[in-house]
Amino acid sequence: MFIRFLFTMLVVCVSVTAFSQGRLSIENVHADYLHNSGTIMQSNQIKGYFFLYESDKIDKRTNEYTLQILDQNVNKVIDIKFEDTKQLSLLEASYNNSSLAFLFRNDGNKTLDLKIYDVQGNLKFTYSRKFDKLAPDNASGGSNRIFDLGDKGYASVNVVSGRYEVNYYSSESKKVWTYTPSADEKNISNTAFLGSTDSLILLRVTESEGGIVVPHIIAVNFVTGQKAFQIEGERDGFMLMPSNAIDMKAERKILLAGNYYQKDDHIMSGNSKGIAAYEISREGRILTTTFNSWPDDYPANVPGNINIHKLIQSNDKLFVVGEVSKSKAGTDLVTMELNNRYKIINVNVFNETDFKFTAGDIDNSSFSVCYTDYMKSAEFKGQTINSIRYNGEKFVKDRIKLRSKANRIQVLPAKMGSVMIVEYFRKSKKLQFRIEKMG
Amino acid sequence: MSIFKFVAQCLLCVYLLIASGNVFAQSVVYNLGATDADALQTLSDKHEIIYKQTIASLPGQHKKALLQLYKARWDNARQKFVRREIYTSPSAKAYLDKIVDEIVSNNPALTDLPLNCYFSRSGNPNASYVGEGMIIFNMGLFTRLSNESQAAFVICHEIAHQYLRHSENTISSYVSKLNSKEVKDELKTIKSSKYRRSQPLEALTNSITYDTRRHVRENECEADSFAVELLKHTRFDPNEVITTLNILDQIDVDSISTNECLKKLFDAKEYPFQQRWTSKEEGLLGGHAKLQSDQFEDSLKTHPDCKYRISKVSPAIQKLSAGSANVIDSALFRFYTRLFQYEVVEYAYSSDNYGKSLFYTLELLQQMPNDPYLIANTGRLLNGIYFAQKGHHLNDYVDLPAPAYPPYYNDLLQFVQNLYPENIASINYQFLEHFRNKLKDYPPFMEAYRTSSQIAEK
Repeated sequence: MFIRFLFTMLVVCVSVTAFSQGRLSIENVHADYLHNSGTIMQSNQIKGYFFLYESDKIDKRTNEYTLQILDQNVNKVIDIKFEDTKQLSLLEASYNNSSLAFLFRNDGNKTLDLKIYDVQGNLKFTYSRKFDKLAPDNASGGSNRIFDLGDKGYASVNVVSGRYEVNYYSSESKKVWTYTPSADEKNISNTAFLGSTDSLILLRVTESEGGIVVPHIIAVNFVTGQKAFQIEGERDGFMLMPSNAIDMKAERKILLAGNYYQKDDHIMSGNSKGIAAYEISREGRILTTTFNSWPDDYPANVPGNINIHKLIQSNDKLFVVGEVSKSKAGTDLVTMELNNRYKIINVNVFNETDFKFTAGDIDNSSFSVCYTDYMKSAEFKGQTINSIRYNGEKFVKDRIKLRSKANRIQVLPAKMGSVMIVEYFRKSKKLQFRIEKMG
Repeated sequence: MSIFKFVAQCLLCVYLLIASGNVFAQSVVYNLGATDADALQTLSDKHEIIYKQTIASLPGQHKKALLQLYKARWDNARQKFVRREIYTSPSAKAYLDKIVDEIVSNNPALTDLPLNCYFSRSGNPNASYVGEGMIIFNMGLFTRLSNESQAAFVICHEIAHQYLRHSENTISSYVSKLNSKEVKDELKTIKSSKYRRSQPLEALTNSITYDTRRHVRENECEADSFAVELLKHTRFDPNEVITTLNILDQIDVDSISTNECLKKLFDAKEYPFQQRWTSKEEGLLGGHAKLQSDQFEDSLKTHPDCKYRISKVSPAIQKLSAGSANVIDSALFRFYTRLFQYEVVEYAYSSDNYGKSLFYTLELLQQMPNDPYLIANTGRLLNGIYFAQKGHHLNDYVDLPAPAYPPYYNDLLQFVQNLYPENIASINYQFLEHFRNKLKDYPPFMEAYRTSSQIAEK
């Protein structure tokens, strides 16, 4: 998850401290301004945080920036200084153990610049591309544009003039390539990165014509830069809209799962028929298909589309974490437990919550889902942070009642089992970060 | 302080059993955590008077800046009383005073120096002159020493800082530098420029900091030399100066293999140790990164390397004749080095630093695996960590892993981070259950055991 701006107001951070005495002191000569901040991701997990400060003015058009990197426990680990245009924002950050990748939007040059740094903070490579031809969502809005591909590098997926493209950026050497499909593949309205293996980038592209949306699953080999295979979303009269791909390394298979629809249904406006799971080989052969339809296979009250946030394979089970929009108010958080044959065996619905994030252990032996809520009781009235944690055997719930004198509180994603609470104190112009462990 | 913690602490302060082999016998009775609030207040008041006299005598030039720094120094010293860090045991103070007296009585130059040496219950292996006539000797350092001559050298070194007015001179030179015409002009130039301010400002700050730190480093060598001068007039052995510096050189070396210790302690048949509990991420962002320090950072170290310090003092020591390793009372020295090992554990617990207390406990358990106090304290700490995690205040009691900490401590912090309440409950219950029959007559143990059982039942 990407957080573009923590707060709209500028927060002053004094760069050097010394006691201030008299009128002219180091403190009142210079200050850094927080430009923007966000999380650093690796394999869809929170690994750290970045803070981009405007630390100096170089000339009319150029600023000096300080990019402060914090680890998952909020320890400062590197400061990176660089000069760039005044019209700069940091969109997204990713990490792959040996390097850090930052995607900047440069409104001066109208480019998206991917800068790759080593873990000592030295700039290794810069990759630039014009963004004016990109679909608006790829150029500025949305999130999840840059993904780590293990130690090899990073990928981004864009839509350009009705066609999708996959960009690969090496973090080992200055190497970049773009995969674009053949000229007859067009009318692409949307792309989604589903996951990766040690050689494949898996994505879902949706073709849209006359209101009919048709999904395809594309695998691009990032070693060769060529398309490895394509699977049509339409099959047996149904359409699969996978939301995640899981690399089943031991079995050398890939699991695709997501909502499925009746063929010719309006995917964007209609309700899904249920959840489907496909096991495919690494060559793209479909090995098994499993369908769970809402009223037949699971008679619980799970109406409509589930906006799936994450699929987690844990201890021979598959868990689906998502949200269901309600027609009148808010959304419900839904967790589903599927057995080793991908049939739903349990569904939990948490009413009217505000989903925040899902985090898991490295091996997914346990994971937690975090959401915020509002509580009104005789004992407490205010915002709560809630977690549902699967401990490998069962779900355990926990709740933090937020009691604070801060003017503004924000809950940010954190490492597995924890949340980051950001408090802003207006009077002292202070931002306070703390990691809280949730049981 | 929670009621749970208050009860547990009172019980532990009652008495302490010492294990003899596998048989637990009440051979020595220690009274831990005894701090006299009235005595602390009296001492604090006494040093506040010295502080007020000091600031009254400050020169008029740059007085505001000087006052600010002297206040910061006093606030730091005062906290040692507020946090009950100063050890008020009259017998321990009397023993420490005898070592100090041996130094002062044989060095007439020190007769008029307002000199007060105190034991601090901190486990940090350090000693310091904190201003206002206060020398603080941390128990964490005292326990690492092997004789009174080594302790005497540490005290002489701190007396040297006081006598040579190192702290005051550093403050004075820092303030003078910061208010010098050269710095003011430089600041004016920077302020008047619209662009590129940060680099010259950083260079200016670095030069001031570097200058200050360089003085501090030079002060260390000067204090060593002066300490040898003081020591040579006493009956203590000056050769122990080198041994002490060698001990300091090795002070941060891994004392235990934390993960192995944890596995040995918490691998129960009914609840086997899980590899996951000690897993950690090694990369830059996992909390255990090995950060590269640059040349400039190295030049900012406040203390020179011990090897360098040894090379500087060795020629003077070689000319001196040997003294006695222990002059005052070697039995008392051994008694206090042993007692203080427990005191630092207890103090870390009472000051809500469960992570440190657990680490010190773990270290001692390697030498004394059947020690009742240490076993009971492990149970008490894990109960405390359980409640802290349930109450979402774990970080108030246990540090998060950080690159700044040594790996052996970081591993313990990671272990705590990897556990969830149900893990802590089961680990602790099984750990205490193993000792139940042996320690059923030891109230602190039974208190920890009962609490753990109640938690486990939930």
